[in-house]
Amino acid sequence: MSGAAAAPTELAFSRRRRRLRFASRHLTILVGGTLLVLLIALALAAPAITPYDPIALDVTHRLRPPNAQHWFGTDNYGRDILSRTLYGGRISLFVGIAAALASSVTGTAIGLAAGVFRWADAALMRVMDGLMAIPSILLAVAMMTLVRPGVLIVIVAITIPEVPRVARLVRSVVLVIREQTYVQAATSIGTRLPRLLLHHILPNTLTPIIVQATYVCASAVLLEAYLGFLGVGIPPEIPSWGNIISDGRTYVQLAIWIVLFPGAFLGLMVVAINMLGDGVRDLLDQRLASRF
Amino acid sequence: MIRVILRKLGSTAVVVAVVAVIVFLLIHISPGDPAAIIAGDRATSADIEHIRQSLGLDQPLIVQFGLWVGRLMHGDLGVSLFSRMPVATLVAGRVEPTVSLAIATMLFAVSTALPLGILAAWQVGRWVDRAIMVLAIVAFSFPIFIIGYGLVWGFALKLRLLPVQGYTTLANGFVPYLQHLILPAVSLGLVFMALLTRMTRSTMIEVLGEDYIRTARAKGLGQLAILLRHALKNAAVPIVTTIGSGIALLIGGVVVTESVFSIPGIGRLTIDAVTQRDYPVIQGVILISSFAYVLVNFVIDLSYRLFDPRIQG
Repeated sequence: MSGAAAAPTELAFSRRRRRLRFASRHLTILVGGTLLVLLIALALAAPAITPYDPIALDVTHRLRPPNAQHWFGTDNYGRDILSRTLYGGRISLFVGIAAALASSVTGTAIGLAAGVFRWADAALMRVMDGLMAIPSILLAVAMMTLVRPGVLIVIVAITIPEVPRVARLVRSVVLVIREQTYVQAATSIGTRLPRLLLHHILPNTLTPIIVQATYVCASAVLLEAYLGFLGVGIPPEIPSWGNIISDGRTYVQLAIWIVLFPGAFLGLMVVAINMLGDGVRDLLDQRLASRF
Repeated sequence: MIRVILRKLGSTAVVVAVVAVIVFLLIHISPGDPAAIIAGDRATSADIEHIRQSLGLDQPLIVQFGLWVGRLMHGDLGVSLFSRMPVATLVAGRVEPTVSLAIATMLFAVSTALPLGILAAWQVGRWVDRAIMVLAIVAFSFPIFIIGYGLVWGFALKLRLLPVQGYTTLANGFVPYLQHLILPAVSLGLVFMALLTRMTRSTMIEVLGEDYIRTARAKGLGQLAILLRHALKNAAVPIVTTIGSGIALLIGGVVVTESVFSIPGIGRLTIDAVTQRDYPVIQGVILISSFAYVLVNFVIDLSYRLFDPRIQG
């Protein structure tokens, strides 16, 4: 009787301990994921929860510090910084995810081609080396000065500097995979190239690509802000984080909150995405996880 | 050894050539009419035509490329559309503040990242390690201008310890020179520090698991001797590589940092060129900074071969 009573508590205890161990091991994924979900929810719900129109001018309430009506204060046109910050999250997220997808797809295609077709390898990789040598901010800025500003062109300008990083990674993984026995076995039984690529090589490159995509997303969100800050980003009438901060630059000594709040949200979002990336890397790569 | 250097030099030259071609093609593959964009909304068709001619865009592509490469070989980076000054002269006049900022940033980043990375690796899994990793991820994620404005607000406006912005040359004395560099160097250096700390930590963890470290421990060597003399020395190659590849990050960050702190360097020159859409200047800065990046990495790559007998070919 007493034995039967002891068993379940022992079981519950060890289960709880296992859950705790899981939580502490994957703390980065939990904290990063929760933070990101929260920020995404705030951005998505922006139209429902923002107290003001993000582009509505109110000249009677210019440059107000944070107060009960305007939690994050107002800017030089009397626009509500809280509303603008939440709306800005939508644009930053969109740009970040779009750039991550675009550079992953392009970079994977180039990396696969370089890893599989040896004749294309040298040429493709030298172009990638050249692109890598140009600092991303400068490359994106140069592209933006030559075109009319728009959201799509910002995504392109952010994507291009990130492509070589993905391409190099995919190529190095492919070079390892193509020497594996299962790939050689597939080749020996006459598997055609498209099938070999899609069924044998690509699935094994997915893990590093996904991890890399989260890092690209984080750096794309940052790059959008830098472009906005330098005045060559998304058209100025759209309240992106970069644009809000760019507008607030002139007033830094007078009204630091214009820059501070969108900047803090931006930083938190990048922290969340990077933590999620680290966590996913550790989770998917058990070899790395056991070592770190 | 000579053969290795020559081969490395050859592949470096190829990368330099690729950079030149990419930079040249940028203006040609951009959609729309770049001359009209550069001229701005209120430009007349004569203005646009004038800009097109001064950029050489009215000639066949291959002729343009030939002329451009020819001038580049003579160190001619073109002429500013606005000041009519040669781009090379404009950049040369801005080198001192930028190089000072870059050196101060590197010194700050390396001198903080190495101890932090080693400490985290030694204490791996404990709270010191966790705290350092959190610091690294935050420093890596916050944009330079937010860190910069935060530091200005705290140290310059509230505590009044350091100047808000600006730059003084070394000729005006070392102390004011240094005072003007501290906040910009820390703002720009934190990203770099984060990157290096993570790299140092993970390489050190790997090295600390090696057999020769266990041997050193068994011999009864002190912790510090093991960490510095045995582990750090063997972890040096990936750490130095990270410093090299981080140069690109540093150069990009210089543009933003000089804007936040009103430092009259190459970054400031670039920002002014961006507002005026002075494309030849932007093009020149890209070329110079990419070449600097390639050169630094060439030297780093060569130094492994000289100092580390394990690396061959």
